[in-house]
Amino acid sequence: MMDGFDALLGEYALDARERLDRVEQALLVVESLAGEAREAELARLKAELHTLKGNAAMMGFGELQSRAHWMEDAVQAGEAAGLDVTALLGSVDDLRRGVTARTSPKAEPGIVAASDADQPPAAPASTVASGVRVPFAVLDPLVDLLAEMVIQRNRLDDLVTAGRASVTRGDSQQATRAALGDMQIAFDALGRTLDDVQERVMGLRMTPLQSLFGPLHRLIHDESLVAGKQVKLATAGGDTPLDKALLELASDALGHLVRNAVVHGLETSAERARSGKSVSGTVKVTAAVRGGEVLIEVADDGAGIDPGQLRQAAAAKGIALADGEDPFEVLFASGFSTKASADLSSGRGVGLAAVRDAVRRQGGRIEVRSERGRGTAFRLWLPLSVSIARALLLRADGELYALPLALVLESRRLLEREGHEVNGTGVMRWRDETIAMLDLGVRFGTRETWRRTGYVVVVEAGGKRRGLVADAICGLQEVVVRGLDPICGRSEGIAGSTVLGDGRPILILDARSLVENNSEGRQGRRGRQG
Amino acid sequence: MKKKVLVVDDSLLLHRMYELALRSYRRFVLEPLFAVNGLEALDRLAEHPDTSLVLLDVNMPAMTGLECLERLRAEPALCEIPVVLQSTEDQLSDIQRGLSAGARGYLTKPFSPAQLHQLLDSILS
Repeated sequence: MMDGFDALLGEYALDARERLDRVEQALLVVESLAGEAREAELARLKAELHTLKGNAAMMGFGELQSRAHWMEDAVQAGEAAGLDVTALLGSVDDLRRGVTARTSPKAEPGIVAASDADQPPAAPASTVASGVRVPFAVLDPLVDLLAEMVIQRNRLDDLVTAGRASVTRGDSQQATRAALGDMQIAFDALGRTLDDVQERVMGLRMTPLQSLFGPLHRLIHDESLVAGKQVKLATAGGDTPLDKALLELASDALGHLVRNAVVHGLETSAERARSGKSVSGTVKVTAAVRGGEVLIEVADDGAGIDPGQLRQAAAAKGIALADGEDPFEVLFASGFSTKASADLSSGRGVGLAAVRDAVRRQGGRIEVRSERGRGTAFRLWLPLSVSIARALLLRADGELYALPLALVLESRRLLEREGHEVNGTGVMRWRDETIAMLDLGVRFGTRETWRRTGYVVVVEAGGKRRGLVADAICGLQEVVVRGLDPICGRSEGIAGSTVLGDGRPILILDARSLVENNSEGRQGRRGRQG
Repeated sequence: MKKKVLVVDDSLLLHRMYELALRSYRRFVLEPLFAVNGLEALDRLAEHPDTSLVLLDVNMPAMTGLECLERLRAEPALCEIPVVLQSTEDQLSDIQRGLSAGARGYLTKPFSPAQLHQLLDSILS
């Protein structure tokens, strides 16, 4: 490497990956354009390659430089007759691997994998960068607001001091009241500034979904080539914001759903022609904010799924559907696959189960709708922000717990005759089924036997329901979720901690592990010590 | 006294490289200024007419380096500021045109901080 620029290795990697993403996008669209639009795209492509080459040269990465140079030449050569897009995309993958090999901490110098058919293509999902660039235009107002808060805090400080003095002097009630009024005004101003700061800082964690749409074009290109189908990708709502913590989840889920749509959802051109449809199928990915959630829909205009066939396939697998239960639910049952069915091939069931589990872990949900002959649509709902959650505050034996609302089905008073004991576990009837109860006090070691009255909160996770029992429900509150300090070890049943308005720290329950783990009492106490 | 050096390049990574190399220069204390294209470079120079040197990339969108150079030469207040062109090896014809249009020197990528320092020695002193 050239002396002197080692310090910029990380920035070089970020820059090169972004440029390679743009090169990939340009390659995927350029041959669908004509005339001036194609020329403009070619110019953009050449400019990116030129800069990639120059930057690699500056870093002293000769192989990367010459591969970029080769691509420049290949684009030049194909300008008139058409680009060899597949070969160029192969070079993009090689360069991605080369950049990673040269810039990752355990880099072995000089390794750039040759374009090799055995080599799996670089996963588009891996382009989700962990770093983030904050423009000064966003940072500066934050610094200003912070300065504002300091001034407001000082103002409040002065007013409090003055108020104290006023009380000590024994000023008239009217004067004291006026001082209190001033304090209230200053306090409210500080609160408004704090709200503004909170909104802006949370905004920093948001990133437009557009960054996830890019890799989908490549995915469609590759998958449709393998499946021998003609597929168009349409996207909308790329400016929809998503919490950075959810990017990887959304990227994985989107990739899975889009691949499914191409492989399983859409028909071949011949089949489409027979049913009077356009020869090429369309996968439409749309995103929007709905209420406090982000909705991402992946819809294909394929053959759709026949509910009757689905029922039969499920029955053959021994998966029973309750009357009135949505037959499409079995698509998400783990181990379900309908090899026998005409529309679906193996593998779909397993993958979708994993996707739904991952989505649920982050407080999201996924639904599917399908119409025979018209297509299938998966709808992915994700929380807009992950680090602030609405939670029920529960009290058990004087201890407060926060239970995130995402998995709560119902909360109500527990009547004395409702709970029954079966093999040492409390159970109750709930909406025509028998569910196990879990006393929070017993679980966290503040009492020995489960209480017969109080409040029960029914939570659902992984298809199982459980009634959490506490003394009282103290309200509903937005809590800022903080992880537990790693020094506490991993505590089953605890998702993190939060601080209440009065400064008391309380634990946030992990409803999923409380539902899925049958641990009670004994194990609970061990967990508390651990 | 600080000498201002304007870096004109569309790659922000190059800005960082120049910044590193300019800040490690020992003869003078340099204050790097940055622009991402020729138009922005003209604005920046209007704000800082006391700039000592312009390092100008040849290959940029929204006004190429050569266009920018010509505009600079036509501006009475700015025409005395030395300009050094920067390009890759395969753009030597642009470099030649630039030198005849009044550029004081050129740098080809890749260059090391030491090479930049040598060039600064000859132009700034």
